[in-house]
Amino acid sequence: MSQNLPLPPIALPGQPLAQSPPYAAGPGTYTTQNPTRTVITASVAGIPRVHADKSVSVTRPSPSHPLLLLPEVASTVLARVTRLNPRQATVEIFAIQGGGDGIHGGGDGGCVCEHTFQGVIRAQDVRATEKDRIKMLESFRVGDVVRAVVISLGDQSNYYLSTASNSLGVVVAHSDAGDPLHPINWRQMACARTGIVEERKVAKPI
Amino acid sequence: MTDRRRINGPLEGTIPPVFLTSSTHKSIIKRSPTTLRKIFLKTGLTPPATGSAFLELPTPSTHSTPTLKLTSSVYGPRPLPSSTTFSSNARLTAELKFSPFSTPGRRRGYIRDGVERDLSAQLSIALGKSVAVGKYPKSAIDVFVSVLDCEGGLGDAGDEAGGGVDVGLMSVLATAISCASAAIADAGIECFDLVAGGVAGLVLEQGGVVEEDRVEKSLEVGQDSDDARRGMRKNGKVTLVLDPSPIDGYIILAAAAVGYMAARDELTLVWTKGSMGWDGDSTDEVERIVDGAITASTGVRLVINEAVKERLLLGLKEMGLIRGKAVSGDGDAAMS
Repeated sequence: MSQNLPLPPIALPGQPLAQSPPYAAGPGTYTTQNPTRTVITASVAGIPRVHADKSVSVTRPSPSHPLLLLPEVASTVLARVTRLNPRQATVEIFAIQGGGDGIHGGGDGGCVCEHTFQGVIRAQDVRATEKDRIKMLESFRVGDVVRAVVISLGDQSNYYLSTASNSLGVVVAHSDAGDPLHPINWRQMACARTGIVEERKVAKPI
Repeated sequence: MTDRRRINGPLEGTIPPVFLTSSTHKSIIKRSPTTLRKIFLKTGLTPPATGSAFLELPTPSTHSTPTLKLTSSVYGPRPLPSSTTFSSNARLTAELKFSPFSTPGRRRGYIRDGVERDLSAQLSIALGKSVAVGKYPKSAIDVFVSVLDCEGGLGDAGDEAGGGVDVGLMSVLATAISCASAAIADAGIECFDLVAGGVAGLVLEQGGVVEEDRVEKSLEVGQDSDDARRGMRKNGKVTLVLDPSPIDGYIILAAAAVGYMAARDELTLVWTKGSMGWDGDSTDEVERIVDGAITASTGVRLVINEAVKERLLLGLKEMGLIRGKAVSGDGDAAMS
């Protein structure tokens, strides 16, 4: 991986790693401006790596606390619906699937958050078309697990999420009786046991 | 007939316990003035915290050596409580607390007192400059430092020893900065650099016990303290001591504690105490002790680096165990 750039085996915060013109600062690093040059410096303790696109990143190897992720704009998250009213659904974000730059060496996938973050899906953000005809009760139910994308850091308490894409929406849901539902089409899910069809904004199965 | 509705005392009389008087205020070691005490620092000892560290100073030689012991734990970044307003930066709070048993002889109260509040504020200033708060919007990072043992007293309650400045609080603050910084690095919170704390003091070099006695007398007699201090300076030579301990028995004229980011060559905190420059060269003396404190904190920084590295290598080994051979081979390559 490392191409003729002498990187230390372990980088500590504040340790200069590379010069900026050829290399770029990746996750776990920041740049400092000198009068003469720009230096990429480690900002977390970890293992520095040079990637194919000449970006330098520092990843943490610790398995107990691998990542410290916060929801960012454009990152895909998994959230559970906690409250529902005709204007919006309140959710708690419990996992982040990346989609941003995979900061802190997330890269490969996501992480389950140590703390949950509160978010809202407003009625106009449920789907991209026919926004004025969206009914929240026909899109989500309390307890559903939703895949959504962060559109804004929001106000003091809520992240603003959107499910306006084919791949976004309800991924795990249970019927009134408590049986798991499976998707039929983009707006309906059926119970595996009783066959009852319920309405949801369904995410396209991968 | 006993009264069964109340908790009765023992039937026989009791004797109050008699404790041996502690001998913590002895001057024990004579280090060279430029030698730092040996530090024990280990990270990742508090499992529920995101990052944590334990620091002991000096590494005890016998079980009765008075030491300075601190633990630090870092929680976060976690969401702010919903009552707070939106902030695009992380909110870093630092809290330093003395355990009730940390000061020998006199127990400390549980309620936060002025000293703790002051040290907490200084700690959060010292750490705040190093953490990349812009990377964690809408979140809180909480640093808690708990002092378990503080070397036989703080000197804040009037038990000034030897008429000099007491450096107990300064060394508590400096080690708290170092310990908290190691915990922040252990947590994996992005920061510009690690902060290390260091203390240095100008002390009166003592020719022996006789001279020390004379100085103390001159202090007691001379009501005008400036005169007394001038007298002190004439009696002895003033030297710079790195990392002075309150139990070393120095008479400290002035001291400085700094928080220093070695890789960026920046100071995050300067705290000076005592009086300097009676001959009119105060700026030189201030520079001298601040430089001394920087030298001390540079030494401490090496210890923090090693402790953080040690933990990382341990994490690599764990990963190797968990994920089997391929990763362990990768890990070894990265380590070598």
